[in-house]
Amino acid sequence: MSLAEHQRTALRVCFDAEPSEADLAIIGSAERWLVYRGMVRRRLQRVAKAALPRTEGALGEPRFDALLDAWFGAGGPRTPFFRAVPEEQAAFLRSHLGASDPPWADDLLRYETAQWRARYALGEPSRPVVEFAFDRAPAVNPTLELLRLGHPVQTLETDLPRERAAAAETEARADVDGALDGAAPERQPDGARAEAEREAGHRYDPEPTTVCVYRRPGEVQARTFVLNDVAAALVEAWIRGDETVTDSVRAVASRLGCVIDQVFIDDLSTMLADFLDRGLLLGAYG
Amino acid sequence: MTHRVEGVGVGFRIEMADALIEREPPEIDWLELHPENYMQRGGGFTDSLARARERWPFATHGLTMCFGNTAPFERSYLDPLRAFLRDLETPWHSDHLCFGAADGRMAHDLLPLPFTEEAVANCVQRFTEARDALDITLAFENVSYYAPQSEDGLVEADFVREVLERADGRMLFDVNNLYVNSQNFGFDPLAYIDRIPLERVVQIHVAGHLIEDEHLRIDTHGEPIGDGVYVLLERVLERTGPVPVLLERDNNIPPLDVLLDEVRRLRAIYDRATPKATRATRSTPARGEPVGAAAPVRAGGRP
Repeated sequence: MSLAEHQRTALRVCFDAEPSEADLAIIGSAERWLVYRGMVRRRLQRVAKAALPRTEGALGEPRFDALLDAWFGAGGPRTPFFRAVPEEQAAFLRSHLGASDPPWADDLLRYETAQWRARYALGEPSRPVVEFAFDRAPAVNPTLELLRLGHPVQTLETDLPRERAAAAETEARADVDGALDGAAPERQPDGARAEAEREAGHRYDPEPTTVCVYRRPGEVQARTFVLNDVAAALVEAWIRGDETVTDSVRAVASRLGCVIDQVFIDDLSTMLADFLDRGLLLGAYG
Repeated sequence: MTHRVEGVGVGFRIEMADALIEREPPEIDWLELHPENYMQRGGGFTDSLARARERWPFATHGLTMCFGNTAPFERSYLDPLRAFLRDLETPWHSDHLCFGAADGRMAHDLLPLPFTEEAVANCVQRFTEARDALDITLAFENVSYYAPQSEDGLVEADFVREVLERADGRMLFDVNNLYVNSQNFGFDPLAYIDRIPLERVVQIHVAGHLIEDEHLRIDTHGEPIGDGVYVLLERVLERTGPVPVLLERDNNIPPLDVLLDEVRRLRAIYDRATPKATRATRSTPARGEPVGAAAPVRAGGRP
């Protein structure tokens, strides 16, 4: 057997729904290769549970695990970056949700993936940033993602008890710090967020909601901020980065039928100050 | 700040970063990190690294290159890795003598290679290609493995030596991995050491492992270092001289004081064993590179 075929066989043993007797027979010690199968799969299951705990809670552990098994069977990860594995898992899960799954599961997957990404996204703007000015293009925090959700799945975050949120954060930090020399022990994440989602037990009624998920400079965790229609349209324009603040405000007001009067200007000023304070905006591009 | 990677270090892990940076324990001479956890990344990891770099020099230990893979390297991985290593001013970079991918599928684990001529040739070719692309002193680590690859476990040593010599490479000698393999496959670890060209060793790893059952020890990096590993480390250091030693702890990370107890025990062994090494067994340069504990950083790096 060639080296390449040996390696393909080993990966099949690790990822196929059931390793074939033929593969196990030709690769050597079946018992020990099944040890590898367990190690590989547990590591990848663990990072899924760390990154998507509320999705696991919403789907229920058996369903979540079954979808992960299907993901393994479809080939497993492609990314060389362990931290990016949950994004691949979430993409697979989104495309395999069924009618029996909660209708908000897709929103939850998008939301949790955005939170995961925001934690490690590069935070440095690609261009020099100067003081905010209306006649310049605003510099949006590069970690920011704007999500238009069909269900307000972000609401549980605000209800999560502080100690439980801290526990969830700790377990997620530990699991994304890939260290592949060691075969991690059997310990599973505490599942604080999954538990919170299950305990919440409520349905998310359909309600269009726009949120931005981002990481504030100097912080580790992702933050979420709910936007109204005008704010969402402005943030979308600013992410594109091709208009000054003044031009984008005029275009958005025109499109949404808003009158730019003193009340609008006062609200806009308050919002901009708030965005700068929250780190959604970092200034303006020079 | 110490400018050389020498003495005893620990693996830099986010769970211990705050305590390390706050206390700056003098027992720790240097740190090692996995570039994949920091490359092209912002947030807490990057901030912690910046703070730790003010105090300690770093060496780097990759998780992804796996010199035994058969697929070509991705430039989208190698190019940013090269930039990251240059920025960090690491004196060398290491990765593993194993495979971890096939046909674009990533195991995200370290899988054992068959000890064949084809595997040797493949590893030599990939190791050389990576070294050229990264333009840095490159080392590979002997891995622990659980599925037997030959009837005689010592064949692994011949495999390692063959790749080292044909690639004119450097080695990160993982003493815990050697110990685990020797226990799992019943061979004499000292005989293994005899077969390794120790002058090529630039760094040593030690860690704890899990005793799953009588015939299966698993390299978890989640337990205290076993006594057998300490003994074996001493035998290796008596041969290599002052090659930097790194304590890996990735799981079940204890309070820093517990970790420092292990570091102090490693230091005692290091101080006791390294003077015993004869000049003849210490590192000799190859490819015009400085090697071993005395390796300065690259030209243009730290003074």
